[in-house]
Amino acid sequence: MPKILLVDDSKTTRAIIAKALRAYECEILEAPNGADALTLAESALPDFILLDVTMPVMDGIETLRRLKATDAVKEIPVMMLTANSSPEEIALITELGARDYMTKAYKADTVVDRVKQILPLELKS
Amino acid sequence: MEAILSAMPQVAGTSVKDAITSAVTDAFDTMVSLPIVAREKIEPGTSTSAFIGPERLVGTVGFAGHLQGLLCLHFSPPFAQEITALMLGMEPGDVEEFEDINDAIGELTNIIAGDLKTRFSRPGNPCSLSIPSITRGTRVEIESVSGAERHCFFFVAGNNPLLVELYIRESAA
Repeated sequence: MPKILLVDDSKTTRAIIAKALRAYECEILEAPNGADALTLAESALPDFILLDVTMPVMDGIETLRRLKATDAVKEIPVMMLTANSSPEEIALITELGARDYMTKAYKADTVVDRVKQILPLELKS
Repeated sequence: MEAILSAMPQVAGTSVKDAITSAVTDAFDTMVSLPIVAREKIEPGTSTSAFIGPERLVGTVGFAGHLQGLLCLHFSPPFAQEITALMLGMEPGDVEEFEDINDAIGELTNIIAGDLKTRFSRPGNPCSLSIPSITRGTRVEIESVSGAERHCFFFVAGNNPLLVELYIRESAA
């Protein structure tokens, strides 16, 4: 069963996206900041990471930079979630190796659809 | 016609009223799954107390850079609790923690501010958003001393009022 790591300091955002993902056969892991996400990614080796940009402790940009510099996790596809759709930020996210990004506000179902374009997910029977 | 259009408040060539209406209704549709309707513009100098009860919870996000200002969403505490429950998939009575309400209202305010920033942005003029903050109190009135223009709109979701205040100015630089 694919594992998806959901990283966002907002419990609300994690709850909204996790609810949509629960319709599919997948294990959902959650982290409230980048530092916890790095630890969890290295121990659980998720198949996909949804990563918020603006977070305390360690933001999403720095987390993405460290993920891509760590052999054990650098191949895990990352989709960034951002409230800031400036061309500069999008360019940086892409340059650092994110596979995709979504700008808030978004429907949780749309996030899941975008995840499915990279990670095949099966509906729960 | 030209005179009418020029009289409509705009930021970066975008109608403030249209931008706020779209940002608020889109956010409530996508994040809360709750229909919300724009009712009226509140004229400058009008107190918000006539539109919403004295007990308030206000979500705030600031703009800095090319756009400078503040977005404030005023909720009654029960409406904030209901929104939190809808966003977290809980019953309103089960929402007890201020932390959960702060998180939900902060995220909703952040999303609307991010949408407005995108709608008002001009290429090459960067703008940043502050982290969201929450204010609780009675008869809360926000005032700007920085020369930003105030735009205030009244929305209704069912029987619940929402006041949206935007203080905004474009940097001359």
